[in-house]
Amino acid sequence: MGTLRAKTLRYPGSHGLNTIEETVVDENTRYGVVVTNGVVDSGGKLAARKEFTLQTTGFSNTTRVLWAHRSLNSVETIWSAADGQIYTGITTLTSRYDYRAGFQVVDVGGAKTSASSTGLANSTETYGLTVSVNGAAAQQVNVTGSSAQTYANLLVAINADLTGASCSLVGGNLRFISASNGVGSTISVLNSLGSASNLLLSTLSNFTAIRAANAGVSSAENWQFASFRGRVYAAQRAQYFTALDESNFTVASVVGQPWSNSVNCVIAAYGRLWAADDQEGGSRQTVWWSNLLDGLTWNSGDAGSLDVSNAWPKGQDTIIAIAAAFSRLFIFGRRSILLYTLPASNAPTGMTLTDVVENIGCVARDSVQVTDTGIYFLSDNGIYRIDKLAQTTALMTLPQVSYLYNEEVLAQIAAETATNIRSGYYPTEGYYALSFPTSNVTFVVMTRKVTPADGNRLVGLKWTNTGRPFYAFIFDENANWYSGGVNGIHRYTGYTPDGTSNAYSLTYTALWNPIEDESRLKHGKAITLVLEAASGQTGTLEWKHDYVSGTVNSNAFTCSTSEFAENPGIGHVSISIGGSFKVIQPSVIFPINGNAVTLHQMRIYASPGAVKQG
Amino acid sequence: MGIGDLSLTPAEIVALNTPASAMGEFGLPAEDEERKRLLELAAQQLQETGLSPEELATRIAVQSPTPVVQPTAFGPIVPWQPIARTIPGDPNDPDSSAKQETTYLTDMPWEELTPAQQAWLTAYSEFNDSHVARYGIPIDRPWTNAAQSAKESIDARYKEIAAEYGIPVDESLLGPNAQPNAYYPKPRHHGGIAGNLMRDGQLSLSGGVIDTLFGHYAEKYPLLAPKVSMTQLPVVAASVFLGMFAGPALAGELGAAEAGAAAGGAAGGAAAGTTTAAAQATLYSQMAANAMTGAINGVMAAAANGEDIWEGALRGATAGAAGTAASAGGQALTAEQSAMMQRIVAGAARGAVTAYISDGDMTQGIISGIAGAIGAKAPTPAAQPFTDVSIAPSSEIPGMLPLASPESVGGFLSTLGEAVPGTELPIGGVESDVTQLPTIERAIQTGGLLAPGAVGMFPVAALSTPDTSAEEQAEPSAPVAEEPAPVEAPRPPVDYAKAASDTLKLYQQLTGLMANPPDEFVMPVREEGQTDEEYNVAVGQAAVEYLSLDAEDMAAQGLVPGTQEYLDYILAQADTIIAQVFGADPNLLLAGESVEGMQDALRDLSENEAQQLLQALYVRGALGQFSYQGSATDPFTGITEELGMLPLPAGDATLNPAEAARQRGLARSLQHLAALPGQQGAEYLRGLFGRDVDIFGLQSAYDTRAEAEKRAALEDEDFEYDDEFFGDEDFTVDEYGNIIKRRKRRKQRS
Repeated sequence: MGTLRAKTLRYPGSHGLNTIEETVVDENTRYGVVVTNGVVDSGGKLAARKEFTLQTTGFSNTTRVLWAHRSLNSVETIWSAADGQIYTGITTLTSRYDYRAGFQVVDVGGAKTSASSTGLANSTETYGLTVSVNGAAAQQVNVTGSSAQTYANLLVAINADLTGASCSLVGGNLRFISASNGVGSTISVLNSLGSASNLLLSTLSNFTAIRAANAGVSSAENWQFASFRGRVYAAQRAQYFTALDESNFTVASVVGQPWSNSVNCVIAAYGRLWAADDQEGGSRQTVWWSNLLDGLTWNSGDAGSLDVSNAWPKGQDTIIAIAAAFSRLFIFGRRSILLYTLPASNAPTGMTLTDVVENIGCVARDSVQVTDTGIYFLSDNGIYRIDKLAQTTALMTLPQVSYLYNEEVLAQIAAETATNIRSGYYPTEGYYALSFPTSNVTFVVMTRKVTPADGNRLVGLKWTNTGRPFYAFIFDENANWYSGGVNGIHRYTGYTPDGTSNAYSLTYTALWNPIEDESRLKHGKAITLVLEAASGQTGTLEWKHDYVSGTVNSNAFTCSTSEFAENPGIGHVSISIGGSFKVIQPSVIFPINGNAVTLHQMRIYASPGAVKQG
Repeated sequence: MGIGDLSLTPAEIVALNTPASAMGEFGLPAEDEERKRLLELAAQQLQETGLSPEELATRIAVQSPTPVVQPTAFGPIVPWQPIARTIPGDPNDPDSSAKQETTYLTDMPWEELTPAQQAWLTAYSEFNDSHVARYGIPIDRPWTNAAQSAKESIDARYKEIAAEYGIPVDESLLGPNAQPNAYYPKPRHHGGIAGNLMRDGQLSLSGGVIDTLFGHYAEKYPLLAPKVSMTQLPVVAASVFLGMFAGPALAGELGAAEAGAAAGGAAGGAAAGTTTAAAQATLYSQMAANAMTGAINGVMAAAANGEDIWEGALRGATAGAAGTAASAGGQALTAEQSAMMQRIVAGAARGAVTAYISDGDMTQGIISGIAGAIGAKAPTPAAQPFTDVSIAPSSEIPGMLPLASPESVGGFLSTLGEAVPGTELPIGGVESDVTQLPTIERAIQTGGLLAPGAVGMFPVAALSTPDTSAEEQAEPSAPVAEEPAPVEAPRPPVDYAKAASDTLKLYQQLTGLMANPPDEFVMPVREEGQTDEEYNVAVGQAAVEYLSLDAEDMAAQGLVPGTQEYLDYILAQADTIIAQVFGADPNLLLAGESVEGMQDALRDLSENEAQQLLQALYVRGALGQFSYQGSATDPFTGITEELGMLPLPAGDATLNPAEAARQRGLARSLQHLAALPGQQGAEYLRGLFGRDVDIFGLQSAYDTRAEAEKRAALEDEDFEYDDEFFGDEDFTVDEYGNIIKRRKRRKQRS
């Protein structure tokens, strides 16, 4: 009988996920095939992540978008979107913009007030339009010119004829809005005189256009926000491009919007707003930019656009996202990436196509995160990063970030709707989080932790929980990291699940370990864990033999008060294991409930057996 | 006896122009004593003047103010008879149910019509088809006697069919107001009318124009011909549409501040908020709108006064368009300039139409007309008066006859309502929607004149035929504003030449044509004591002005920088200035050079540089760039050029700013060339031809990269060599076999 041997796994799991190597090859590596709800701490050990603790009270909807807006007077406010409304606040969410009801904007040049002149003849001439509310038959609106010389009077006259809807001045334009909310809530305004003698809308001074109708929604929170010069801009496919004042939250008039329906992308960069992807309007190859220092004006000054149809490296593509970094504009197509470099003046008309990337594009707009080390995004092929470009002549390099666990990422891409995918960056720790809410899986890249693989692969982990998918992430000026989720906004703090249904566990499953010689039988004795935990911390050790997936042995344990008297402190837990095997795959699971758990070491004890022949 | 002594009513004029067989349709007796008398009188006139009957009719100054068109005599118009129809639900779909819709008699399924309705429609179709076949004009609203008569014929035929098949007559279908209006005006009717007007009935061509001008409807009615740009139209077609179909919208309020309103009232109004793109309006459309307005008023005024409608339309259209030009870009003409412009424009229009009618050269006709108008006041009688331009027999103009008839006018007018819904015009001093029938009626009742402001700028009298003396001119039947004070002070010839050039460009803009400008450049008068150098400067300055290549000037003409039209204009001006530079002194030409060759060389240069720019923009990923920026850098000179942006509403951006700046740069070069004296100009031009610019530094950047890659490759080779033969030693040998350090070797190489 052989001498009892021990195989030590130091800092197990601290190199994160590795699903491309099933068996330990290099014993210096610290990968796990499952590394869930952990982080790599400052000591390089796998520790339990903190919980996203609910901060909001009295809110029963799910927050799906978060944005940190820093106002002109340096006040930071968290903006969010849920149930067809845009909110501000954290503990209490205050609705600032409600888009649940169907509406349609009649663009009369903006800046109209109640006292503004309508431009109608001051006579008995009648002016008409028709409005269909919630899909019903068109309602006739008749206005007598003499009684509608101002917008105040005009609104009175219009509303007198409207049933189930109303008209008001919003952002200096007329907005017809249904009285009901939800999917069936619609408005269809026609510049049709009907039984009147004259057309009403096109007769109004500075009439520009009837904008595309905005159907009512019960959800639709896929907004992209941008803060710029005292306003928060919100863009979402099939939703009216909206600018809200940061102080009074009123809707500001966007002058001369060049897209025909709605844009899905908006960012603020280089002294202006940038927008792209008007899918409803059939223009998914154009990037628009506003006038310099004026996010409301899109048809004058040096506003303009760029149709990149001819710039895609392989014929055709569509814009998914845009990002600005390193004095460049990155245009993410579905299957390719364009890199434009701005001139010294930052004038968009002078920007040039500096580099293109073929066959790697962007799956989801909200997967894009600009960080201090580069731009992370989700591609069909996994998570990638565009490295920060230090020189003007440097071209894009795109190391694949999720190289070691790409299959898992791809599986999540296949299972998720692209618009649901969200990402966030936690600069304090350098976490890039990419969430797939439907399956409640979040991949977290430790951007400051490097694995030995290929020299610079980043440590990647997986987060999940029960009943609390991460719908959005945002970081604020106080180093708080928030998640949007069920019942509002949650903050990354503590280790106590907020709610009985929200449980999570730190899980580590090692690679298959042959204990140096896979050909030789071993007789298992025990596994000892070196942990930092509180006394009373429970856990379960599981192990499997010889690549047999169906048979799992397990043994629960509790950290004793004597061993973990420091509470929390470092102690040992030993669990007996039996049986004989050639390879073993240990796994340990710690339900997190109030205290952190850090995994320092795992030691497998076994005595060598015979070399089986034949 | 002079032509003006003839005293004929409008109906009589029509009769003279109308075959006997068609008289009934005009509400006139086919043959009677009066007609015979008129014909005899006409024959006498023809003998004296040598004119054809049609020519005679068009030249007669009508003495009687009695209007022919009296639409109000037939009561209110009922263009549609809506019918409530029940659409049964799908029996195979349990969720479907019967629906109610409002439709029209002509849109009802045939099987759902009553026998009476079927019979009536049959009769209507028969009659209408014959009418269309004959005149190219469908029967429309009961505007005129003829329509009334037509309706009576329909009713009669309906009764015949009903009797033949034993169908009870539905009395509700009878009478002038019961017309179901199966041929409610649609764009194709414009095409029909236009084709009728044009030689060889070029329906596709007219359809293209309508498509271009009425794109909104073109989308709605896919039967229209494929789009044909106005600029591609032949001169004849453009001239016709100048008068009759020049634009989709409206005049009136065309000051800069009201541009948006005009846009809304014009194409934007037509689009009725359907799309942003449809709401776009450009100066062109505004000018075209004014032309349309003028055409409407001109036709109505001419019809009311018994004048030639065709000519009236042209007069009105031209005047209206000039109104736009006068206010475009905030550059209002002075009263003096306005008056002169009126004469010029009227002359140009007459010259153009005369040339058209006589199958002559259109451009020459325009120039003649311009010259004639200028000659009336210019101190140098450099031009041919309009009276010298004869009018060809109208028999050469297929379709002329129907349009000269009252019902065709009505037909034409009735089509306008559909064409430009929501368009307001200052008719009778009141802003009114021309698509509304009461408005048109009011316009006719008020003489179809422009609002006082517009009339003040372009009084009817001022637009009268230049060859008709003031004494011969008939007093208009409706009140008009006073004619501006006549221009007393003679103006320098260069001003008139400039005005003529501007007017021609105006015409070009109206018609979308880019005909060559007049070859004549009037040299400035050399003042006493002026040195050669000073005179050269004056000539250069005059030439620069003549060229009108300033960004603002070109913008005022509605030219959009970056477009092919913009470039064509510049190149056309370039031809002129090159001809001036070398034509004035052939000794400047070197062996093998010619004026035409130089002109071609400049075009080649422009074409090559355009291609070069295209490639460069592709490399830079900037092909699809648009900008509202008013300036951009010419990639070939590095000079920032003011582009001369038009005051465009939302949705319009200039074309690629780099191309726009390139064109402006070319214009700048030509202006510089124009200001140079002969020899210097020739040298400058030759230098321009030799221009070879590495735009955006693309080639140098490429070379730099290539060199860097080459050096890097060489470095790699060196390392491999070292490793292979010298291992870790950091030595190699020079050409003499001496060992040198690698660092030194690198230094030598660099």
